[in-house]
This record gives sequence, structure tokens and C-alpha cells, in this order.
Amino acid sequence: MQANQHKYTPWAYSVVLHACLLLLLVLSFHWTSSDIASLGGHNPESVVKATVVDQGLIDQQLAMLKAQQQKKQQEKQQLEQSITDLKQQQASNQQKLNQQLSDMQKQAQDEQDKLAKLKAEDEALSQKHKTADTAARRRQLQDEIASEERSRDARLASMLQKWEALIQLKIHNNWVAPPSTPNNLSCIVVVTQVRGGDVTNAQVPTCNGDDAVVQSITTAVYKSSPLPPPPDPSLFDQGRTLRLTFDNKGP
Amino acid sequence: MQRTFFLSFLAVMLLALPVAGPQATLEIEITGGVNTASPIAIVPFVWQGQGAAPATDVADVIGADLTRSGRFKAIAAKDMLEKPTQASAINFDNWKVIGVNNLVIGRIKVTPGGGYTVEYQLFNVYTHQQLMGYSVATSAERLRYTAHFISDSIYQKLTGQRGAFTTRIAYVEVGRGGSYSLIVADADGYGAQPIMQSPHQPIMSPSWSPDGRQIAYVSFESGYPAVYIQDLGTGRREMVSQRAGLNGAPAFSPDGKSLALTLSSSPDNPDVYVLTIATKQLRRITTSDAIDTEPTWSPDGQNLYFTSDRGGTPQIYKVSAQGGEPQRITYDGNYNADSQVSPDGKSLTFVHREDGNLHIAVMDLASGTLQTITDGELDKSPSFAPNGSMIIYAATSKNQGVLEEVSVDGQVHERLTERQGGVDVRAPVWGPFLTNGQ
Repeated sequence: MQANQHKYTPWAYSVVLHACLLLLLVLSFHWTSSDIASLGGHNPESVVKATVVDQGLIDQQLAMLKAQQQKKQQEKQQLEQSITDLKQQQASNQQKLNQQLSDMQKQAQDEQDKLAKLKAEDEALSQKHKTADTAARRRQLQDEIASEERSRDARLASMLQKWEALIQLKIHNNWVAPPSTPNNLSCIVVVTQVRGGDVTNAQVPTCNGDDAVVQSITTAVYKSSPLPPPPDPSLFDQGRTLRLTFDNKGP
Repeated sequence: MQRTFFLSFLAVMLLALPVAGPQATLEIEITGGVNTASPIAIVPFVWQGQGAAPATDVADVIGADLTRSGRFKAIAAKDMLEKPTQASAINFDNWKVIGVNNLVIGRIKVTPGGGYTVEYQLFNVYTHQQLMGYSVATSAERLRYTAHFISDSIYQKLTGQRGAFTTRIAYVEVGRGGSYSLIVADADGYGAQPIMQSPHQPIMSPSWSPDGRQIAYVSFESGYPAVYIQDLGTGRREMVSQRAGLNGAPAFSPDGKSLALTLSSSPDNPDVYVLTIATKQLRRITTSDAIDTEPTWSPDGQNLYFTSDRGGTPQIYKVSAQGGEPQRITYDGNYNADSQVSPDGKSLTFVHREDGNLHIAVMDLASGTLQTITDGELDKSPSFAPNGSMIIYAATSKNQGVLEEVSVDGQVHERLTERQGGVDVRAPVWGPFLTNGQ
């Protein structure tokens, strides 16, 4: 709007007095006028000079507008598609994570069984009287037991990471960071949970955000209660207390 | 974006981290939140007076305010499982199941001796903590304003940013017969009041003084364009510029002492000037042969941004408020005009032409990144809310000018009250924060 007067020209002073409306009409064909833009950026001069309405031109412009609308529609659809894709991707990632977890749990069970079997055999051998054969067998068994235990520990460690990822994902998805969130955000939240995942306590010992940020973070933690259970119940004690760091390194 | 980033981050973490040994505390990093509106419930405020309840639905106004900001999503009253009016009656589980993060309850009482008292409380649904509890004295007439005031306080508490729901807007209304009115209204379009009417001659380019008490504008009432400053309290006004030729596009400086404006004594060559209001002293800022117009101030008052076609197409330039060599700011596209700087000085909004349509764009001044936030065909005259969270602009609907508001991220659009009968609305400007209510 502010632009509509800037080419007001002195030669039109007398005209202004008698034909203000006419002047405004002329002004509306100015380069800043958006009416021109709606016609698809055609040269305003040609519009002013045209004395005969050219149906062809109008059709052309209409077709152009239509094409633009279609393009916009397509863009919108693409955007919606990409959102759907993203959601599907997220869902499939979640599914993958769950699949991996159940595979892991099954493997862990198999391993547990195998370990138990090895230990039972070892135990049985220890009851028999010692021969060169049984001693050799026992050494072999103990090697196998040690190896199985190493692989079990590795699996548990990997399960622990999976558990962390599950907790991280749930809390992240419940966190709506307010506009006052600083770029260099660093907030520590110490969370206590009980078996079953219920959050019983969440303390924020350090945070460089304001009240609104602290609120958003505690809300995210409590809203995520109950937290996802560990893939293996034996892991729970390690995660009874969680130390969460909230930061803002994302784009 | 954030989610993709997060998932890749997750993948990296799962693959690359060394195997952690047993430890007493699990350390987990949560990076960035989700970019969605926070669900909030505003329970209808209970009327505790005699007779019929006031016409203004306070909870409804608050919900509409918060939702319009794009930061919140107020849930509908019909989706509420309970409608408590006292803190003791709240069952937080009823709000957890529907995923609401915060809850507001309230009561409207009649004050002995007339007037109303509105009491309201804000809760965190998950911690059960009361974040805020206030009582506000008001009256039937001011109830809507009070609702906006409550919206402001909730917004500030939950976002850490000052609310702008009690601020006002100004715009020009053009009647079917070509009559012009300068209107001042609440930020949500309600309570529209004409402050100046011109039966036949145009009114243009309103600009708020930084204290919100005055409006400068261009009026053609004398047959020539002239710049006036009108006091909103007294209605008194002063003509501050009626030079030969064009007098246009006034903009108050952030200290309120000067007006930037466009003057032109020779044809086709308007330039930007700064007028000291008290002394009427004039300082010329631009001297090009091209069209220089639509000046607007940086919030620190040090610089002016303006539109110029010196490069062949209209683009935004920046110049020191003391004058000097202008520097081109916009390069995207062949039409960028009518700019305004955000209240924090970090971004610029302007009209940007794309595919022959005019959209509102926001540009980050540090990086130069431009984002189109509206998708109309003829969107014009963008103006930031004083907290920078929203932009009001003029759009076109059925060949008629209407006002719309959009959150700066372009997520939430809302049309303000549409006028009937061919009334055209244009040139909206968002007023400043009012220091002591109104």
C-alpha cells in the first residue's frame, strides 16, 4: 500500500483536483501494484494501452493461472507425500527396532539355554572321577562357557544401548521445545523410575534455559512415563536412575 | 528435518558407540524437540454471578488466541472428559489420556459494587504443578480484553516469550462507494473503531508510534497527498508534510522522534527522507534517479530498509539512517517490496513475487535464507507482531481485500473477520506493546 503513491507526478496536479479517481486508476497500474502481478507479470503498459479486449490473451492468462494452480496443487501433494513417507519411515524404523529386539531376546534365550546345558554337563563331569578324558572335556567345556558368557555380556551391552535408544525416542517425541530455547542448550535431568517404567522423580540440577524450557523438559519426561521396559529384565537396575542431557544441536 | 536428523543420529549412535559396561546411571542425550503445537486445554470458565453469563466466552477467546500463535493447539470443549472449575476437582489422568500438556481453569465472579473478577489457574498436567494463578479485576465491557491479557500471561509462562494478544492493529477500510476509513482494532480483529474517515479521498500507509498513542498516515483529503500524525487519545492531529509532489509511506522511528517518509518533487523520482517531528527538519537519505520508497526502521534506529528499482527491478536495500551508500539486501526473484524488520532485528518480512503471485516472505538477515510463508495470489503489506511470533498481512478473497495472520513459520494461517458487501480492507500494521494496558 505504501508504494502506491510514489510515482505521483507533478504534471498531474491539475488532474488530481478534478479526477482523483482517474489518477488512482492510473496509479493502480504501477509497477508496485499487485494487480499487475495477478495477471502473471505482464507488462502493465500493454494492459493500459489495450483498447480492445483480446479474448485470446485472456484465455492465455487464464490457462496460465490454471497451470500455476495445478503446480501449487502438485507441490502440496508432494509435500503431503513426503510427510507420509517420513511417517512411514519412522514407523518402519520403529518396527525394525522392535524386530531387532525380539530377535535379540530370542537369541539371548537360546544362548542362556546353551550356557545352562554346558554348565550342567560340566557339573555332571565334576561329579565323575577324574580321568584324562574328563579333564580334557572339562577344559573344553570351560572354554566354551567362557566364550558363551563373553558373547552374552556383549549382547546385554547391545541390548542396553537399544533400551537407551527406545527411551531417547519416546522422550524426544514428547518434547516441544519453546521459542526461548537457547541454541547452546544444555540441561541435565536426573530421572528415577521403578520397575514397569513409571517415572517417580525428575530433577533438573543444571539447565541454561528459562522456566519455560525447564517446564517443557519435565513435561516431556513425565509424559513419557511409563518408559519403555528394558529388552532384558536383568538390565533394569542399570537404568533405575537415568541421567538425561537435553541439547539443541539439531537443525 | 529434526526427525530425520534424529534417526540418523540414532543410527550412528547404535553403530559407533563402544559397548558400555555396567554402570549405575544410564546417560542419554536428547537432541532437539519435535516442532509441533503444544496441546493445551482451556476449560470453559464458570460464571458465578446472577442472571445470564456474559456474552464473551473467555475460555474460547483464550483458546483462539493461543492456537492462532501456532505454538499451541487448544482442544475443543467437546473433547474434554471433565470440566473442572476448581483445582481440587481436577483429575489429571483425564487430561493425560487425551495428551494435553497444560490445563487452564477459571471462574468469573461479580465484584461487590459492580464489575467482574476473573480468576484463572494454569497447570502442568504431568507434574500436577500449578504454574500460575491470578485474579484480574475487569468489567463486562473489558472482558474480551481481559481474555487477551490472560492469553498473554499463559503464552509468556509457557514459551518464555511475551504475548502480543492485547496489542492492536490499524488498517484502511475502503467502502463500496469509495469512502475511506482508518480503523484501529484488537489484534484478533474484534472491536474495530474508525479513527479517521474520508468520504471520497484515499487514506494510505498507517504507521504506529512506538508508544502506541499515535498513528501517522497519508491522506488525500485536501486533493494532494499529505502526511498526518493523529493522537488516538484526543483525536487531535497535525499535518507534518505537504510538500509539492508526493508525500508518502511514513514510518515512525523507534524513538518516536522522527518519521521516515517518501518525498518527490520531480516526476518519477521519489526519495527517502527523515523528518524530525518536533522541528520539522528534513534530512535527505537517498539521492538516486530511481524510485526509492517504503522506508522502514531497524529496531535500533540505526538503519533504514527501503524498496528501490535502481537495479532494474524492485528490491530491498538498507542504508544508514544518517544517509550513505545503500546496500542491496534481496536477490531472490525480480520483485521484493514493502519490507518490515522483525522486532529482534534478525529477519525481514516483505512482499515477494513468485510465479506471478505475490506472497509474504521472511528472510533471515544473517544467512539471507528466504522462506515464503503465504500462498495467496495477492498478499501484501506484511507487519510483524511486536513479539515477532506472527505477521499480519492483506490478502485477497473473492476480489476483496481481507486481513490474515500467519505464524512466522508459516504453519498457522487465520483470516480475521471478513467484511460484507464489497468492503475492502488493506494496509494492516501491527501496533506496539502497550506498557500499561489501555
